Amino acid sequence: MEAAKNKNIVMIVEDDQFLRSLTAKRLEKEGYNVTVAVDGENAVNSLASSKPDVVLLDLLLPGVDGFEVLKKIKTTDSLKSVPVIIFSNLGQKEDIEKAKSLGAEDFLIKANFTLDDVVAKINGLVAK
Amino acid sequence: MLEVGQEKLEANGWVITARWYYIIGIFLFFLVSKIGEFNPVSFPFQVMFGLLLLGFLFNLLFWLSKRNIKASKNYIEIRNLGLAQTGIELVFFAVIVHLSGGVESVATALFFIPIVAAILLFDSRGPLLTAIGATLTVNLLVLFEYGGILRRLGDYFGISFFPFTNWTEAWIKTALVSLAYIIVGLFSAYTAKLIRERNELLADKLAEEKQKIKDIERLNQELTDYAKELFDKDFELTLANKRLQMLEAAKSKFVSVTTHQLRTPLAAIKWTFHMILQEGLGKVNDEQREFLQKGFDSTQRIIAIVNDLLNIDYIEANKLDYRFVPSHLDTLVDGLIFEFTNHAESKKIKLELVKPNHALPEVMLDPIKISMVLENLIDNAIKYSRPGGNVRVKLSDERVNSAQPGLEVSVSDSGIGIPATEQEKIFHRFFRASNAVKESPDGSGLGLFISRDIIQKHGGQMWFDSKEGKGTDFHFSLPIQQNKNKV
Repeated sequence: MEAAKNKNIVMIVEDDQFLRSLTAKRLEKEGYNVTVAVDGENAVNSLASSKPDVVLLDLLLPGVDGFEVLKKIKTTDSLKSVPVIIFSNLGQKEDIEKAKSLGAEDFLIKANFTLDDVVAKINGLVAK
Repeated sequence: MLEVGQEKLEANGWVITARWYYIIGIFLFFLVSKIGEFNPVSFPFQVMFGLLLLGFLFNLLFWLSKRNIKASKNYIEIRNLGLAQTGIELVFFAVIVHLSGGVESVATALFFIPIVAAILLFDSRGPLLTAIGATLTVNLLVLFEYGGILRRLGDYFGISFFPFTNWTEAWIKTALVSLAYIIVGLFSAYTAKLIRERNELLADKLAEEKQKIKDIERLNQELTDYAKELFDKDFELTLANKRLQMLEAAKSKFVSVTTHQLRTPLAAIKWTFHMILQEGLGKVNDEQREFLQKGFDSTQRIIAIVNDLLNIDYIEANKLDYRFVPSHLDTLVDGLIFEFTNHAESKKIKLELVKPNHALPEVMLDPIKISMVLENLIDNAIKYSRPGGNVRVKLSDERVNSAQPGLEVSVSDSGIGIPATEQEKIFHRFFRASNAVKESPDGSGLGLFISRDIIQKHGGQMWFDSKEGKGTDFHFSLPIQQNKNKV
């Protein structure tokens, strides 16, 4: 399964264990290095050390929510260039606009997309 | 009326009070007249003093009687007191007249007192009757004096009476005095009548005013009651409204939380189906693929319903905000036709676009929302048409120059149509026509509800014509803003 073409690191911030493992599996299959965070706090703590190339970020997280994590990334000098894709089940206009204004690259509603779409997005971002 | 009794009782009181003063006045008058010594024989000082005391005594009795009459309703007692006062006074004055020199003396003027007092004590006939009483009294006195009766009486008691000789002169004088009494009596009676009438008039007016005040008070009370009721109602309504708003907010929160939470497991199921279908977990044979695909499609359907629920909650909570930009409707429609062409072809349905050759004016619209509406209408038209049927999207600017300028879009199909009995409900949320349910079991029944809401928010209208088994035409209009000249 390790088709190590270009070992880009993707960080998945997702509290649902099954979704997390599905996503990780799919991305690993695509040849990415995956690090996971199970909640917002976990994500904030491991961001500096894991140095991801792309962050796949859920919004509804226990404790520190996705918006907080996004704010943290975009206000930290060493991290702010990292593209963040919001991958959530929130999806109302104000959520999308809030995420965009905080600097999110894209906003995908989980139920409306498949993992193939996510992979396509990440591929697009990494290729840049 | 109670007031009459009360009034007469008080009148007796005034007369009694006045009498204390005029008894003294009369006594002083005769005392002064003695200084002239013009009639030395008559009215000795002792007799005058005796009469003064007697007058006081009588008045004291009247006063006590008056005080004993407790209730002002004892009309008879009150009248009797008045009669006693008048009668005794007449006799008393007759004695004074006699002692002060007979009818020739000035004392005959004293009879005017009870006549005038009768105005207060009795009704309007009182003064006249009292005047007649006074007339009788002086005439009897003259008769007694000149008839020798009093003289014989005096002899009996050993008192010498002065001589009464000039009978004719006395009668003439008496007649004049009597006439004066009757005139004053009549005049007083007339005055009493006037006073009484005026009192009655005033009493009527007073009663009227009292009634008016009562009416006003009642009206005021009613008004106060109504105002209070209104205030209570307003308060209740405010409370109810607040409760309703809270309920609405709670419902809205419930819907958004549940739907968001539903989406997570739905996404997991969908992704799993997808992953297996993509053979990410190993080879899949054709039979397995068929079933997995059905599972995937069903999940997609649930997700679509959940999304519709979220949308409807958004619409009802008025959270769906609109961004109106001047847009070319024809470009928007072109794009959608392109998107749907493949889908239509796969169902062997001809999808065509009819539009004017010239350019259409720009319309203020929210492109995302209008696309939703068009997608919904075109998707329905394809879904409910039989293979070989056709769907026609028509753009028209026929109403551009009308009073309410606008563009019109229609989506016509040759599909199953809407049963006549169900047509009025077609825009109700969650409503789906019975034949549509049979044809395609999925669908939330929210598409048309949402679509019409979107068109209405644009200031336009949505309507349809349909015949069951023949097809359906959906139309909507979008108004053109008056300030289009800026293009």
